[in-house]
Amino acid sequence: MKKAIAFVLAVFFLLSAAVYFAPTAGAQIMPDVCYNNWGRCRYRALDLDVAWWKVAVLLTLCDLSLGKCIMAT
Amino acid sequence: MRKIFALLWAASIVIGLSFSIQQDTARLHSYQVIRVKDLKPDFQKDEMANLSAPVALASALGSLFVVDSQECEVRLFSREGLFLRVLGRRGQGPGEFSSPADIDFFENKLYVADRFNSRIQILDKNGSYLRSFKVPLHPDQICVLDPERIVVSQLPLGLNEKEKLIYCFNPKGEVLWTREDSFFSGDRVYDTFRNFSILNNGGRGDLYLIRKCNERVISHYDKDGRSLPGIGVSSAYSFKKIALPLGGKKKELQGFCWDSVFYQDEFYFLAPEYTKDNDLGPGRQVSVLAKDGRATRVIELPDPVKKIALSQDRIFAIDLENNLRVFGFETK
Repeated sequence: MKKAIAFVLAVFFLLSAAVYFAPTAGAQIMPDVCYNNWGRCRYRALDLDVAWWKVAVLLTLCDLSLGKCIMAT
Repeated sequence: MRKIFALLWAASIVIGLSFSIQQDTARLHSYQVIRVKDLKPDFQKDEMANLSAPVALASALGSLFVVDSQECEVRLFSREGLFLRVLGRRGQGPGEFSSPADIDFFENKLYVADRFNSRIQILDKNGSYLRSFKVPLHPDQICVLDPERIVVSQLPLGLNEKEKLIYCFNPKGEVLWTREDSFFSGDRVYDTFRNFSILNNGGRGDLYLIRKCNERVISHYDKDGRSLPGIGVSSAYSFKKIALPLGGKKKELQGFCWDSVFYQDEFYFLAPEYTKDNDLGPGRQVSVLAKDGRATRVIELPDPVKKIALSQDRIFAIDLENNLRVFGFETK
């Protein structure tokens, strides 16, 4: 009987651990995606090779998108 | 008595300064102005010469190579600016690119900075894939000093002050040396501009780094990354100031160089120019600087251009509409 209770408790523990850590792991990946997209956004802005005021606006938009992406995760 | 000495001392400084400014002004006005003619006036009719995002030009092996980061390809043109063929395509496999950023040549081999694949690809002169190696960054510009020393620059993300601008790799992708700390103030947009830089391959293992703003000394390195005396650019070649509008308090940038090419022991600096709406954009004036930083002559182009490349008697350029232009020097 004790063994059965220990087994059930162990299963419960593992399940709750899995439920707790799964979203945390996902949240770890999401900022990476955000930073990856941010890097691409910056390079696209710079590749346009346009006047600097415009580039500054585009880079700021990239930063705002990064913030929005991180907040959403 | 002391007052008289102080007065004489101050007067000598003022006279000395004015003499040096006069000399510099004399130098500024003494250099030769060279005009060019459009060798391909019908450029707007040529669809293949209209590019999506041309980020690098290189004249080599009797042709012109244009890297288009958006189309993920390298387009090949004749010296007359006629389209020949395309090298590579979008992808992650051998000979495929993801946002290529730059190209350089060594012993008839092409070295492509394959930015989002984080690798350097080496192709033969026909564009066939030879090999590649991974790098731990998004390569932005590339200078091949020799087959064992491939220098790559990156654009720092601005997340901390530890990022370096220049990395030298061997063909296995191992870092041989790094140089130039990135500028870091915490204002990412401003820092991005301050970290804008151009690598020029000086040949014989010489590497030059030109900052696009706020710095008029060209950094000089040998093939092993040893710092050589920097080259102070003559004040005849001037800064163009602009204040960045975003990020709270306005910050001033001193625009210095939009693009630069090192060709036959001289620097060709494409100067930035003010636009109609007081922005700072690409210019139409190319200043030729000697290896000691003296401005020797100026080439006047008919339109503002973003990128330049040189080959013998002509200048290749990308104009503001991303058209490939070909200019020839006017002979008297």
